[in-house]
Amino acid sequence: MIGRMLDHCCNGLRVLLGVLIAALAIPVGMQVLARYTGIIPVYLWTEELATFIFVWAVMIGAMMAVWDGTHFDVRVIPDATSPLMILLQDGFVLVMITAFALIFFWYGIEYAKFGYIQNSVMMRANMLITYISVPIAGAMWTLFAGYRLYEAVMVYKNRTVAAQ
Amino acid sequence: MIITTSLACAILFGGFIFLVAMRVPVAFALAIATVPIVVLELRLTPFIVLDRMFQSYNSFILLAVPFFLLAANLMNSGKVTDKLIDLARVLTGWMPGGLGHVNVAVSMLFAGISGSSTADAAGCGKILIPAMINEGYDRRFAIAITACSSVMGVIIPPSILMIVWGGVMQTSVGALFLAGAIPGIMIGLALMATVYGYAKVYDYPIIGRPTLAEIITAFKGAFLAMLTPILVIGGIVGGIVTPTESAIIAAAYSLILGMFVYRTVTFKDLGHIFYDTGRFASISLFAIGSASAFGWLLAFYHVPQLVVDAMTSLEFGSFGTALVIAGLFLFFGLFIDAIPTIIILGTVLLPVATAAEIHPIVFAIIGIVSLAFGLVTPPYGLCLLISASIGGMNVVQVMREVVIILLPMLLILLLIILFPEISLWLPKVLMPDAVK
Amino acid sequence: ETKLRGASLFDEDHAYTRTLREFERLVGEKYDGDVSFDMSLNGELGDESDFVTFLQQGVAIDYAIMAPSNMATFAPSIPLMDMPFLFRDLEHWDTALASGVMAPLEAELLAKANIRVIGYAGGGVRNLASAEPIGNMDELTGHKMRVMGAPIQAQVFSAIKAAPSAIAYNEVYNAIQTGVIAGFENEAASIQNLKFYEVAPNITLTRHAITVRPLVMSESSFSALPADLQAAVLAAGAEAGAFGRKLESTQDGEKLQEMADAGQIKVQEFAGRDELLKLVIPVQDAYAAELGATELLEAIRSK
Ligand code: NA
Ligand code: NA
Repeated sequence: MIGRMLDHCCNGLRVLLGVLIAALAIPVGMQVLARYTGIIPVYLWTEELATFIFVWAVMIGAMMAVWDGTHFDVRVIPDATSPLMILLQDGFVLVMITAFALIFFWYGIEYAKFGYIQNSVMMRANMLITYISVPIAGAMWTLFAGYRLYEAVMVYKNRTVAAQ
Repeated sequence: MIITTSLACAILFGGFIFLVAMRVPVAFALAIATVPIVVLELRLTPFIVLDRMFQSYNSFILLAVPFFLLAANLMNSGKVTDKLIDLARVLTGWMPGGLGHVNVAVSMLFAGISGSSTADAAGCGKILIPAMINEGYDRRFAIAITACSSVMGVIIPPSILMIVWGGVMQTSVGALFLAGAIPGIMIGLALMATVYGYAKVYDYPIIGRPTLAEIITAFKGAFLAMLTPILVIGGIVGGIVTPTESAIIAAAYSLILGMFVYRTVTFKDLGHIFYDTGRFASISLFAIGSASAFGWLLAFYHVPQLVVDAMTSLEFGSFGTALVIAGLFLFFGLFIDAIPTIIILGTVLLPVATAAEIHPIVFAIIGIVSLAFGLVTPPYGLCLLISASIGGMNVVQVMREVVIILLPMLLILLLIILFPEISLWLPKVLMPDAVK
Repeated sequence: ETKLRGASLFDEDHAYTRTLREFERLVGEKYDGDVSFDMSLNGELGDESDFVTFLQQGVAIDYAIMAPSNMATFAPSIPLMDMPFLFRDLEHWDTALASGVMAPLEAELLAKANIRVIGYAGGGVRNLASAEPIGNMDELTGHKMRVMGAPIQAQVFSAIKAAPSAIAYNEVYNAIQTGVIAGFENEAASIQNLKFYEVAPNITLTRHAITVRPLVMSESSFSALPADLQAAVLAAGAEAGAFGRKLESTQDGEKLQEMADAGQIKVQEFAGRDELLKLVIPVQDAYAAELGATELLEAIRSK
């Protein structure tokens, strides 16, 4: 139930990420056009808008990759084989990510406040619009990694039950 | 408490290595290793980790990453890659080990268009690895040659790594692009020589001599795609765009080719292409953030200065220093992605290289070529991981072939170190002002 | 023992680093207790906008010198401190800075950014540098030039008929070399250090800005200091600022001369600088009015 909800949530993020990448082309393209062709005036805010979109794209991609388990890892120790070792191996990773996610969330709230007292130079936009992505990422990671941890424990339980 | 430099290094590196060994994703391992320090050190708080990560995405230069990936993905889904393979086939298919040569040649062509190696490994590998296995090539060889040839993607211009390097180290990106061309082609030739050797030993087949009609069709098919490097490099050298913006030219041109000229990309495909680009780009870029936080802490404890002092006091001379630099980049490349390594290690070594009178452009090429090799070396070699998974094998199973293929490539790296003119000649001729 | 940390974008030889060193020396001299200093150089800890973050939060560093525009996200009026064509000449600039006329801006910075101004360095005179000579109004009209990323900069240079463009500072050299832009504006030290004269050897003495570089301290750090150390810091900041102003304004002319003597640059006056002033004043007035700083602008002008 919660798993399916998080899945939907992640699908929403996927659509949003695709849209952001497409949208990224607009300010950068305008900047080139403006300077080179003179068709449109040189807007000094294009670079600012591009980095806003960019920050969000990176943060959303980083959130999803925790749900999908696609952040790159390095495999030097061999795969665990027994159910308990599998739980420990996967569980350790998920516990570390969840712990960091909680730090990111807690201090991310402070960080968002720090953004809130600033306005961007060119567009005079309140910087909360990008800084808020930090606590949101922390919250989403906590949900995603926390749920994966729950799943790992359930898989272990089912296996040990099946073995008995 | 106030933490000493040695304790800080022990916590940072020890924590990172332990976490990575326990399979914590690299991006998180880098960030988590910084936590004990910022909690314990009186002068710091976790705020600093968040800020350093967040601010590193606030960079106009890194915008080149998604756009170059977008260009490559558009070419892969738009069957432009197929046209490049057809061209490579008529150019090199007649030699013994034909498909192996095609694999190398198409990577060189692809490298001239795309700034990314991983897109090459994925796009060409999907077609060529099964094709090679069908024709009786050893599966391990097919995987290894696909991975090793894809490293040219970041050496032959355009290159994401060079744009990041130029931005971080204040080196002319145009000059770096030009400097990478000859080393990249040399690596391609070394790879072809290796393929030739394999073909002789294992008696791999030729594809057959192309007819004149086939040659003409292949050139016609790939002609428009091959204009991309001219557009991108011409765009920079000709003053139309800044290096970061050049990536959008590559993406826009690929989009036009795919949607309107070859008509192989539909509006429906676009959604997927944008999403795939965003997914892969953001995973790599996120790791840059944690690497920046990690690197910042090293700087806070004056580690870079200590490294520089230690290395200058050893007085290795130009050649010795360059060897040590290459060795360090190769070593870091075993474990971390190239862009974070540029940020952590490149900035530390720049003053070392300057003190040893290594030209900044030569330093950059040594660093980038060494890091490119890291793309195929386990435990963390993205291109090798990608091609091994296409070939349906474990990375460990193809290790031996990778080492054999890498040896001649390492020889090229040694030549680049020995003869700086290999890198410097082309930029000196075409952009004399930028090489002074 | 108190340990203070500073940060500089530059190496030991640069005027700002030397000013900060002088500040450290003066604090040690004026304070009876134990105080030590640790400065990170060469931008190891980030750029000036990062320093602002650290100072605002009271982490990592305690003091730095920076361009006012870096603090604009917190306090939008700050860039007014050294906006183009604000100071008539070096004498006006020095008098204004020593007079305390900037007090309203200092108060705003303290309230909104938690950063305390303890002195004023600066003194670089900014001129146009371009690939082709720009000697008069005709040549300036439509001149594609890079300006700093603040609205007032773009407004002023648009007002004098140039075509300002947004380009990151680390892309300027490449952009001029390849013709993406035709020039930029900066002070002699930067043109010399970063070898900008290789691509933009024509210097036009517009003298449009004289830089103001506040010597700043994190209010979190400052308020935690013992009272006698606070007094020492304030006195040392003011003195070090004066030291830095003298140092840089002297060096600026020398550096320009060195480059001219070495044949690296060609220097010319701008024909009709008064005309530029006429074009700019309405823009300055509107800008100050928007920020509610009309009185301040008048006060600075009348010094
Ligand atoms: Na390339
Ligand atoms: Na590797």
